[in-house]
Amino acid sequence: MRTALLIAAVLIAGAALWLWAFGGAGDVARWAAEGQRTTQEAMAAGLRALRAGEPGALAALLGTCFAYGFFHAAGPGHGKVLIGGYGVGARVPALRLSLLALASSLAQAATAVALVYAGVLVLNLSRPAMTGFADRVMAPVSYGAIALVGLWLAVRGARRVWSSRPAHDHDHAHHDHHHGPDGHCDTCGHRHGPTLEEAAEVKSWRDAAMLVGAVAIRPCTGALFLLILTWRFGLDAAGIAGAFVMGLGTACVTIAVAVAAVTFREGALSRLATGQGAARTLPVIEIAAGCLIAAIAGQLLLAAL
Amino acid sequence: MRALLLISALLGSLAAAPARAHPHVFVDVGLTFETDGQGNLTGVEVTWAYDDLFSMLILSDYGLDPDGDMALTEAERAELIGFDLADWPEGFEGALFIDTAGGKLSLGPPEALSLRMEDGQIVTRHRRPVSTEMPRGMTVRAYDPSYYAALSMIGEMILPDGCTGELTRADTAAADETVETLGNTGAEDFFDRVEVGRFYADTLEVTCEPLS
Repeated sequence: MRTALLIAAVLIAGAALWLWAFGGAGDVARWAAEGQRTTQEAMAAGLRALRAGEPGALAALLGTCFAYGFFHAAGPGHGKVLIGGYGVGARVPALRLSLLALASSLAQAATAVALVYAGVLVLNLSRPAMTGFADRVMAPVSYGAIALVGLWLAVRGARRVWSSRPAHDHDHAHHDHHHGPDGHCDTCGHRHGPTLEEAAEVKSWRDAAMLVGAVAIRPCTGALFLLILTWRFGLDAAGIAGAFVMGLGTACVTIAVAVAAVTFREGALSRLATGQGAARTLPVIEIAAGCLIAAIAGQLLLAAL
Repeated sequence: MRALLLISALLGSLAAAPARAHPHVFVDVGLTFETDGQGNLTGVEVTWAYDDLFSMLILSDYGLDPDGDMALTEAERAELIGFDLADWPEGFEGALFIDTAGGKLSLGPPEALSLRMEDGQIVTRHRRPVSTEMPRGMTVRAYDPSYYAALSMIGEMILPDGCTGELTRADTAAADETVETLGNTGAEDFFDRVEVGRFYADTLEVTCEPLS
């Protein structure tokens, strides 16, 4: 198991190296852009067919939406940074992080629906006004939120480093000591620093809400395009369904990132000594991951302002 | 430490992608170079063919084509012409960049020429006036620096007499350029680079014989 995890981690690191250092990210982005162009054309055809009431048009449109979401996320994506960074920085089961990735993609679709329907029904905004609002307001807010989540991870890691320092002064539980026959206290249970599990386990709903919220604030422009067109064509239900199916397509990619991040973390950590050493290293990894998330999101934020 | 390095690499790879915006509009570009026959370049005609979805979106923005057949009447065409030339954001140079040995060519403000529908696509033409002696060589790139629109120089290219052109698609060139940037300046600067459209730009190298 350890070997398998290690191999997986090495493969993922290799993929990361290819993406990062050897221009692979450019190839992926171009491939994704080509795919997006093809799906964008298919979506136009699907909308025409649906508008003309052709049979099977809805299924075809939804299939296209799924592909669009997939290609859109396979290129760049702020969600991937956060989900991937979180998965590396904090210990979280792959299934839970995958569910969070799914939830954030679907919540992002919900944001798009909310923006378009508030925009057209309540605020009477034009299409450029809506996409402009998404790009100029919601995107920076989302990047800012992601940066804050990164900082929060870093601060939490720093607090763990602090609280697990050797000269701890926490209260040594002066409750009833039950001394065994050999004079050894077997129920005191005081511990010096957090265990590996405790240092890393992340369960809180607050974390989940932060992750989903930070990603979901920024709706995908493609979903906005689709929703605006379907609203104008009187095909609202198809558009809303399409937006959520797009979210599912996006989730495919973010879930893959989530699984990769968790596998990578487990694999890399299986190399480290367990016990005190790891308990001290883990918060450092959390700090590093948090700072990187914050730095990347901060760059995106500055670029978007 | 090794784990930290690997983790940094993973996060770095995540960072490499979002440094690029993703395109939402796809445009095929055609160019016609216009000369006065006396060795001067007088203008460039630019043809932009928009992808089906964006074309549909524009028509619906303007409330045109209510029957959805993606065909426009004469009056509708007259209403729409110039839609892509109005309100260029500050600093937007019309997504056309021509470099010569003597520096970047200065292109005048756009004049709308025509607009038509073709297979569900809006196709517009406009002209950018230029006033210069015909350069011996030009490096022509059509791209949107913000990469909101992805431009491909796959339309018709009409060059002046005596000139030949060689088109390099973005594929290899951009990858090389990206790697080169990374190698030369390191990742730090790479993340600062917002204007990523250039990485995905097709390049047309134009070489002209001197007038005899």
